[in-house]
Amino acid sequence: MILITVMVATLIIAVCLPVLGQRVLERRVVFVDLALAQLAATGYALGMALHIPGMIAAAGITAVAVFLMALMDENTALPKEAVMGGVYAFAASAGVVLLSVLPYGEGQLMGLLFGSILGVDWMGILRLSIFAVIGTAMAWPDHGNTYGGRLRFYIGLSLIIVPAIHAIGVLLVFAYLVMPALSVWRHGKNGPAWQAITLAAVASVAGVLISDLFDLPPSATVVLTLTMIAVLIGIVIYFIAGDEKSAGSKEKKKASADTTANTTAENETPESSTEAS
Amino acid sequence: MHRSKSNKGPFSQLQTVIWGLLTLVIIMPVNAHAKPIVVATVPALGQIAQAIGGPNIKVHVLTRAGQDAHVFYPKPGQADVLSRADLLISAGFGLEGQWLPSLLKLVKNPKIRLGSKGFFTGEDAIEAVGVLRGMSSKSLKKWSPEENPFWWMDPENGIKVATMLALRLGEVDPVHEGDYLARAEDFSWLITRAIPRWKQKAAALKGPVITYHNSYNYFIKAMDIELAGFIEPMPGIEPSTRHLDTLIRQVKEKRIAMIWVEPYHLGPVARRLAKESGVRLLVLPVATDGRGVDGYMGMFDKIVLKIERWSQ
Repeated sequence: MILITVMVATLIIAVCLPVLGQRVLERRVVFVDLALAQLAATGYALGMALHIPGMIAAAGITAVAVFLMALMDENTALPKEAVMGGVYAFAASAGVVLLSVLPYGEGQLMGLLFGSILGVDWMGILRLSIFAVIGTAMAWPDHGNTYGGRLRFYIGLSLIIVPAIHAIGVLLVFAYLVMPALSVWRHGKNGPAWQAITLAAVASVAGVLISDLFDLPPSATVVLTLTMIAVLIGIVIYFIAGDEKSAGSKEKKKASADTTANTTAENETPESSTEAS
Repeated sequence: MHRSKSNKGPFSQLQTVIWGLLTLVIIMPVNAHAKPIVVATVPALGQIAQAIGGPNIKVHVLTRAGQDAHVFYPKPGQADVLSRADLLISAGFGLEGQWLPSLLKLVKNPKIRLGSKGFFTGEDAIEAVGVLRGMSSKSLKKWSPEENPFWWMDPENGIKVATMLALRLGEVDPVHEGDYLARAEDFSWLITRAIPRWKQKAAALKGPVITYHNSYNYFIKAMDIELAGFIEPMPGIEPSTRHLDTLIRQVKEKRIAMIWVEPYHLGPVARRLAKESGVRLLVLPVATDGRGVDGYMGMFDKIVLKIERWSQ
């Protein structure tokens, strides 16, 4: 029962987060998800301090931050990654100071930041998929470098990332956002989205099964499996992509052998799971 | 001091007032300083200390009710209090192991150095809870029975610690030794009288319980309740899907009455388990606000009331 909901929940994020991750990667704003999640958590704490419902405060603070973030031009001379990192550090510190004046806040903020995939029931899965569909629809299509375009991107991103972190925890969300996209990254550009999604989905199934089989904590096990598969496929793709420059027939053979090995691994999940363990 | 000599005019009256004020200024800080400063790591220990020390000591508690005492980030003011403390009361058994040693090194107060008479820990007074009814040593193998610090959840342990603490306070502040010992007697009497009442209310529970962490073990033993298992497979580790599915099966097989979770632990996982298995989930405190013996006893009142109410 728990096994099935965990698997379905990881599959949902495996479908939507890698493509968003590609958008995030090409804009070089990887810290944006940590920043958004932390802002929401701090908003929640602020809500408790001011005696207004935590969820409303979290949504309000995140919305304000998103409107401000969209002000930043995509071609700004500022290192955007540093801006996002700064926002994260600021929000986290504001949260800590807020908590220090709240007697019972600590557990709640931690609960918000570190949701657990084990806690997601079918209702939660439904909620997660609705947010995922809306968020992906808003953030995935290419947008012009206008205020409206950037706003649509950031709103879509926060609509999917904040509820996802609340539901399944920051570790899984961060890993699914960056690892698959990074793995299929080639020649300084994003690779095909289907590759990123496929490897994420394979990692979900394999990771959850390994965790259940060996009685291991699911979040961390899934992330470890995802890492291994991502690195493996990343290496394979490196050889294929490197092919175009060096016309060595040996490398070509090796690369094609690797891809066939890779596709069989994708088809036969149990095998890949034993390999990964 | 009282130099009020009759019929000597307004000037001498003024002199009296000045003398009086001067005496106050000199005596006041000395008096305030003379009160031993006692620092407790968790609220329950502060309450026991206050019950024993009464108006003769000044109690500071580092963590607050609702906080997980395994993790603690001291504020400058708290480090300052520690540097002036005469007695430090910690739970021991690993509760403060991650932060107290380094904090003590930082404040460099020789009076509360580890092993000195100003360093009091629960380990000085009581023994760890061991393996409980309903648990096999196998199911506990990842939960070291020697490492459970939540001893104040057993009121009998509260009495033992209060008695030891009265002796220790007498060493730190010999002038009031008699007061401390007398208050320990009162404390012991009040708690002993309340235990049957608590046990009676807790007996409303129909069947064994599953808890998130091992925080309630002492309470469970004291109230003669059966423990069926923990949600955490070991302290601080996320349970596996298999572990949770096993627990769901056990709820039906063993007719589990309730799941208990600490206020600061992962609500979603415990809620999920309760929902899937159709058993009631209670958030029970391991510390409550309130001063002295009333505060300490209030914690048990609150817990057993909740158990009784939700066992109907």
